Amino acid sequence: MKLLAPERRILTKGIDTPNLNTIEVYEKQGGYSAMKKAFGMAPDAIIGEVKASGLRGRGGAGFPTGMKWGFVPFNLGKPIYLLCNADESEPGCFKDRLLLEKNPHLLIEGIIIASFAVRSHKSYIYVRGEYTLAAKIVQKAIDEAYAKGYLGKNILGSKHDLDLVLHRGAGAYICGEETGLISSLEGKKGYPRLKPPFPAVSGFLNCPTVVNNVETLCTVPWIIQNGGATYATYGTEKSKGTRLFCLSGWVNKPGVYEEELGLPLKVMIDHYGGGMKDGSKLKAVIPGGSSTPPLTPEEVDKCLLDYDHIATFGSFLGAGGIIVIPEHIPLIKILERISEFYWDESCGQCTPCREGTGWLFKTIRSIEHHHGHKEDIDDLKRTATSMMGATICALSDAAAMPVLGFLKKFPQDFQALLDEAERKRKVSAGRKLDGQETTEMTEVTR
Amino acid sequence: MSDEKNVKAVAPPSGAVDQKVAAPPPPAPPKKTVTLEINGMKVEVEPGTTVFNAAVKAGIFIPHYCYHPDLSIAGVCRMCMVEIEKVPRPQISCNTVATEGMVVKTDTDKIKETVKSVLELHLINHPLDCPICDKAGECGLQNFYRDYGLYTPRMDFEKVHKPKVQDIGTIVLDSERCILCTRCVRFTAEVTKTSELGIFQRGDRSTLKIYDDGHLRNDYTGNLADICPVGALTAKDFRFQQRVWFLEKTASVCGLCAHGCNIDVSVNPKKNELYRVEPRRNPEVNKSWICDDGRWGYQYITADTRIHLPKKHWEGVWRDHTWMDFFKEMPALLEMGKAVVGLSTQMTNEELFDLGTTLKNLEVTSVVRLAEDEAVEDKKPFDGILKHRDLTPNAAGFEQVMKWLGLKWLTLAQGIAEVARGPEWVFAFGLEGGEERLAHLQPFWGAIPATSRLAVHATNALPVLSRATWVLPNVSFYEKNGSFVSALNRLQRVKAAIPWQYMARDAHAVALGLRRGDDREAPNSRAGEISFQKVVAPNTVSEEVTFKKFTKFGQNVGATETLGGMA
Repeated sequence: MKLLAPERRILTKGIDTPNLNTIEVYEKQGGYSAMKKAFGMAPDAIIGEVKASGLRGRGGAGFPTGMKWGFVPFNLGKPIYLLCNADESEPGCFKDRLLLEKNPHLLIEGIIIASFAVRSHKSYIYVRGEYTLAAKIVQKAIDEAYAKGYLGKNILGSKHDLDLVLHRGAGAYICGEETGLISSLEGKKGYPRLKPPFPAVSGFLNCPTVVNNVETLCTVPWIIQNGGATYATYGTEKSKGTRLFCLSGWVNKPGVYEEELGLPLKVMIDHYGGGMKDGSKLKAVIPGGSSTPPLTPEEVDKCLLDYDHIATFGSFLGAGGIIVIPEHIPLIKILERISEFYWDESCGQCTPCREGTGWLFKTIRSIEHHHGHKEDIDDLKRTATSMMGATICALSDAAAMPVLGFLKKFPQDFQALLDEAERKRKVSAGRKLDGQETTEMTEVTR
Repeated sequence: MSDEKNVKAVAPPSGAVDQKVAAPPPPAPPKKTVTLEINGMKVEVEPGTTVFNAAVKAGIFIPHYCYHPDLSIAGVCRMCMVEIEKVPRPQISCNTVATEGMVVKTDTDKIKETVKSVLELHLINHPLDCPICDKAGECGLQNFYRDYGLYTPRMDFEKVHKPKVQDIGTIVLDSERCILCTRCVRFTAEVTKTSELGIFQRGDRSTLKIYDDGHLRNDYTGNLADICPVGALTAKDFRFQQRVWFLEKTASVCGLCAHGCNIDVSVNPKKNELYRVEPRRNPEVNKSWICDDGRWGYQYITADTRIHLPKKHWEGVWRDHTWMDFFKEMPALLEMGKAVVGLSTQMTNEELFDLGTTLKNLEVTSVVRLAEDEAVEDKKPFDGILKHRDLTPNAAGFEQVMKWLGLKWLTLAQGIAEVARGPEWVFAFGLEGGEERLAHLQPFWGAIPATSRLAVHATNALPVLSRATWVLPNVSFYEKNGSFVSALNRLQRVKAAIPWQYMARDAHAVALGLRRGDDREAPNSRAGEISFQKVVAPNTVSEEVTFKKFTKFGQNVGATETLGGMA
């Protein structure tokens, strides 16, 4: 397997250069030249390049970026907004943070180009509330860009105006959902909105709105500089380009690694991650952040990191958060933590999600505490299935998918806990009624 | 079937309709309707109609909590799921726009299963305190559990607890019963624009609360109890008063202001007691709302001040009398030129007609309209929603009836001048309500000189009665049959929900008594229904319409068809 050479990297090339977050160093590295080139192009040509690149959104859903930009109705007479989604909150994902803290000017350049392409004159970066350092660095970078005249009125004589505002979230996962983000940015509670209307037609302040992930926008300058066709040579036939993978869990070298799409997952863990820590045995891998169903060791051996191949294993690339789970950590604890997260973060708007996340969490917790019943597995499956696709946004799916995935792929782990609970119940029932045989007390009603 | 309609659409009979469309001839004229199939039934709807409303049109019921026809779409309860061909997953029908050729199914096993599981999720944290809940019997959760649920409960964990009995003004809020459909939040935000309510916290900790632990600050709070599909918002007035299954509803019209909101009057027929007044949806008049004054204004009918018997003040002593005594005295009192007769616009058209006919026969010349002149001219609700300055329901009808009779009448201002001249007798017929509602008559009472005698036909005691000679008990509009013409010029039917109380008589009985000098047929007469059929319907709608057949939503009559501030 050919690995991505460091000089061929798109997003992380030279990311460790000291002070890359200042405009001087960034420009010395060739920064803002793509912006200047873009101003020489027609906006539609930029959209064309991005379409040709095959770039798909890096926020999780993987929607083709060029197509998203193409949906914007430019002739409504309403302002068009470009929102950068930097509310990275999926457990297991920390790629945007790297870009924000290390290379904020790359993002700003990407936003300027994208705003020029979609004719937007007001743009917001919605950064996760907990990313205080990132927020400081990005704000400083925005100030520098304003000082240089890269933001503001008539940028470099291009007649393109752009105001860029950094907005900090207040710590809600749901505000990373694009319509939730829009609601939050409008000053409302971060409730996702019904679609249709789609944000491209009626989003922020009921105006056409494009919401892109940090990584997506950071890829745009490279595409403009080198051409969409060149970008398309990276990756596989259907999953083009490179991605940042966030490797975490029981590996020797966790971190953010840029790789071409289509890399075997095994190589990611063994080569980049330096193999399993302490020589532990692999139990499972969550490939795309906590909401994606896990993979078994056999699947890990076969799986390639691209959008389509991973789907054949019933999972997703999501936002690229690879969590490696070793043999000695009980899966139920991981699943309980994941379920607790979604229970806590559900916005509470739609009934299936509001009630379902709590129910899943409580059931899983009771199984973990050896209070489970043999019906619990079926109950979990039924509840999780009824939550799938039943709500306004995908948080309900995100909560249900790992439950269904873990139950499907590791049933023996959960059965063992239920058997243990049953055994304990028999024992305690036997103890309570001294003198009677425990076998007669097997019927313990719920 | 649909082909025939298409043919009609392509070739309209005259060019008038087609003028705009006719300009580009080659492309077929844009279709004015969309045809879709729901449960195998073809439904033709306007473009832009949602699948939900198309189903309503087809007479198919889709269970729902958050959808309300007069509020925006929230799409959060997820109960109204339907299966649409070529769409992999069930979709909510309330936010899905019907498209041509769409094939929708609402009764498949998949949908039944989906609805059942969503309902189960609605119920897992619901306290199930139905035995002490006022909503029991008309609760969305109970009804849908019966129709779509009937599963064995599986949730055996501790339920989420939230604040229970909270006093928020006229309404009691129980956050624990709430299923967070947000109808009430949208109501306060969109209809009253006061936004007192909100959802606090997130996830299953989401709690319906009032901001700043305050009180509701709008005049339409009672509607919150109506639109709440569960027992989270209950009206203080109705709490623990009556089980809803003991109540019978009568479709009537509110007579407490000129808007003519459609109402349902709930009465326990065993006790003949009025327990509740609710809005009855009429999109062209009051949508689904009524104001608190209209809802809780009924208390005057059982108030202590209600007049029970005819009384006469003579030689310094109040004595109870019968109506017969009055009727014997009456014709002489009304003799031409000696009396000024005030007719309240709170009377129905039929009453006004009957009484007006009698007065005409008795050749009474001074008839005064007992309504606030300026308020009557103000045809729009002053708060932009439903409330009118004119607190009498039938000022528009009064004008029409007097026109049919050819009877000349005086405005209140002219009437004041007339009584100031000191007629021998002043009569006021058909007054309803207490002092506040009749405050506009203060100048009229004040203008009557001490030498004039006064006879008042009213439901409740008024300060002016202390100086009256005759006090006669009237019936309220909850007790009579007839019709009103609202400020929107809409003829609407008033229906008796409870029988006449005590010795009260409506104006029909008074007119009859004046004509015949006896009180034989008076109580609970059908005179209102008969007059409607004989006089009001032929003059306004059609000769064939009887009282019972007349639409309960009313019909626009007269010139203007303004539809209030909400339209």
